[in-house]
Amino acid sequence: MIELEPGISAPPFVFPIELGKVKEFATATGSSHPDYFATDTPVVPPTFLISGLMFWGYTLDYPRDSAFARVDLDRSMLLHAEEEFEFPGEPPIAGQKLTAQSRISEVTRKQGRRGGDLLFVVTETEFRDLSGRLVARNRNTVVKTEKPAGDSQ
Amino acid sequence: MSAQAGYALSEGFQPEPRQFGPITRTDIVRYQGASGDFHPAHHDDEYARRYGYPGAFSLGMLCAGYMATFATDWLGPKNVRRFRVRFLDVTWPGDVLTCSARVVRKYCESDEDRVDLEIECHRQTNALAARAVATFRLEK
Repeated sequence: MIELEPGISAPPFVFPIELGKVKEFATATGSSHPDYFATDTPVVPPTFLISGLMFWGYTLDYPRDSAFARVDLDRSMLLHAEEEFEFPGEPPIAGQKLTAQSRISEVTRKQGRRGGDLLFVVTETEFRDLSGRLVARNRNTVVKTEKPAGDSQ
Repeated sequence: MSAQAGYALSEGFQPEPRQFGPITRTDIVRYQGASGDFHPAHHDDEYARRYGYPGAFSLGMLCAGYMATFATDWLGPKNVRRFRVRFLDVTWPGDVLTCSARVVRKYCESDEDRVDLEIECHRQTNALAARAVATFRLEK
C-alpha cells in the first residue's frame, strides 16, 4: 500500500482510436451527426477519451497493475464529481494512435454538508499524437463519501 | 438543430432545449459497453442496494454524453475545444433528461472565434442533474 497523494503516476499507454468505438460511443450518447457517421475519420465525441482510459489505460476505479492499484483507497463506491476535457485544436480522429499518461494531481478532504468527510481525488491525463503534440487533456474528479448519497433519499 | 448558429450567435442566446430518454436499462448497458465503464452499480440492483441505493442508477457520464451531444449536434463535433461537467444529482432508469444551454460569452482566442456555453441537464422532477461549461469554435 502507498499513501494516496499527488504525483502518483500510472504508466504511459497507447490508445488507438478505433472507428467502430467512435461510432458506438456517438450512438450511445444520442448523436446521429454526419460528422460521426458519414465519414471513416470522424472526430471523437467530447467525452469519448474516457473510453481510452477504460480500455487501454488506468483509472482509480480500474487501476489494473499500475501504481493506482497500490494506493490506500476503498474503491467500492467512488462517485464522479467532475469531468473536464480540453482540446487545443480539433479533437483527435478515428485512425489516430495516441499516447497518454495519467497522474494523481490533487487530493483534498472537505467536511460534507450532511456530516462525514468527503475525499476528493483529481486525476489528470494528457493525450499526445505520435509527434508528441498535446491533442487533449482530461481532468477527472472523484469523491469518496463516508455514507452513499442514496441514504438520504 | 437551432436556426441560430455560427457567426449569428449572440451572447444570451438559448437554443431550443432537447430531451433524451426515458433512459432504459438498454441505454445504460449500451453506454457502459461503449465507454468500457462496467461498474455494477449501474446495472446490478443487488450491488447498488448493498451500498444504500434503492436500485441500479444511471451514469453521470451518460448524462454528460447527452449534454455534449446536445452541444456538438448544434455547433459541430469538430468545433469543441473544452467541455467541463459537474455532477449534481443521481439519474435513474426511466428518467427523461432535458438539456438546455445559453451562450454566455463570444470572443476571439487562438485565432478562432469562440463561444462559451453554460449547459444544464434537468431530470423530469426538475432536479438539476448536471451542469456543464463548454467552449466551441464558431464556423465562418
